[in-house]
Amino acid sequence: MSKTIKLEKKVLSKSAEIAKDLRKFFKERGIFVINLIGSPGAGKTSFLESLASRVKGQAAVIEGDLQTDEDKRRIEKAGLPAYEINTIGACHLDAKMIQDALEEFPLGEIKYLFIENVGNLVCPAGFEIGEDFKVAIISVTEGDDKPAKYPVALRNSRAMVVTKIDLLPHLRCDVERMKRDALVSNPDLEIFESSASTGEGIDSFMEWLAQQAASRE
Amino acid sequence: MHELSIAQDICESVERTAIENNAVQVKTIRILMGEQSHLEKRSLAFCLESIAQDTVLENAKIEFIPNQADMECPKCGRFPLYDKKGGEICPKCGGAAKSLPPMDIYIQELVLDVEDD
Repeated sequence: MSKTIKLEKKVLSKSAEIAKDLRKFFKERGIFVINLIGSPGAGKTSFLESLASRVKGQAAVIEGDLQTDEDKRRIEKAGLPAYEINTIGACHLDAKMIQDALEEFPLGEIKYLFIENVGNLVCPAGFEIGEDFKVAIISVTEGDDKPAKYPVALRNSRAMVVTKIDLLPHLRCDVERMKRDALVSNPDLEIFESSASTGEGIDSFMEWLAQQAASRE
Repeated sequence: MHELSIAQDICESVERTAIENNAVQVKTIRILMGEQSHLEKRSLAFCLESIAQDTVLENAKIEFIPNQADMECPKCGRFPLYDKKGGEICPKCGGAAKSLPPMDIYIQELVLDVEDD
């Protein structure tokens, strides 16, 4: 006998279920979690290095990389505790990797946990890893068509940081176009311009981040 | 993009439902696919077929139905609207709601071969 069962059940990947638990874990400990996504070379690590002195003693960093622990060492040199997740080739971090990392990386009394995802503007956008939100890092050297070409990264992010803004005089890059395209994907997106070389934009990003953290509590 | 992990979740849910209903075989799995889920149908079907081996899902037909919009209602929660274009009114309770881009996928329904009592 044949029987039809209507389920209409939403499918959650294993990673999404673990992400839910992680979000609860972080919230209970008062830790605000930012998942940084962006292409290789967009300036994610440099952005974190620029922030480091402003959050010393109250932040930690998890670095996701396919290869080498170079980013971890850079962050430690900048003054923040860091843990390296080597994905051994995988193109994004998933929630299980974060869960495993926390067993070896005691976070202590911190306010912010920055997770730098694997350099890739595609896959990391599709995974929740326990973060409060994602921040997309896109540099002016990548070309001003990137927000239009990677709409999911922006739709799933709360903010976009346009990095290397000091290089603008040397490039053919229309930052206004980047912003326009990004807002089409996500009208609520917060947009910052920054430069790790001059320090521009770092303070306003941190001010905004502090407000976001405060309004969660 | 993350088809294997999605396929594992589908497989678990379908197996559970099949057991609850004394099914000997799952004949059809209908999957409602959000148009913005960024999942690749062929890859998802391949993953499902691979992990379905030696389970009650083996040889099940997999059908995909496109979902163009989701509705989010304060009372009824989030659910798919299928081929309808979303408006501002919840079709279930008639209250104010909003339509959202369809990012999720759902197991819409299953056709099971069940044992006769």
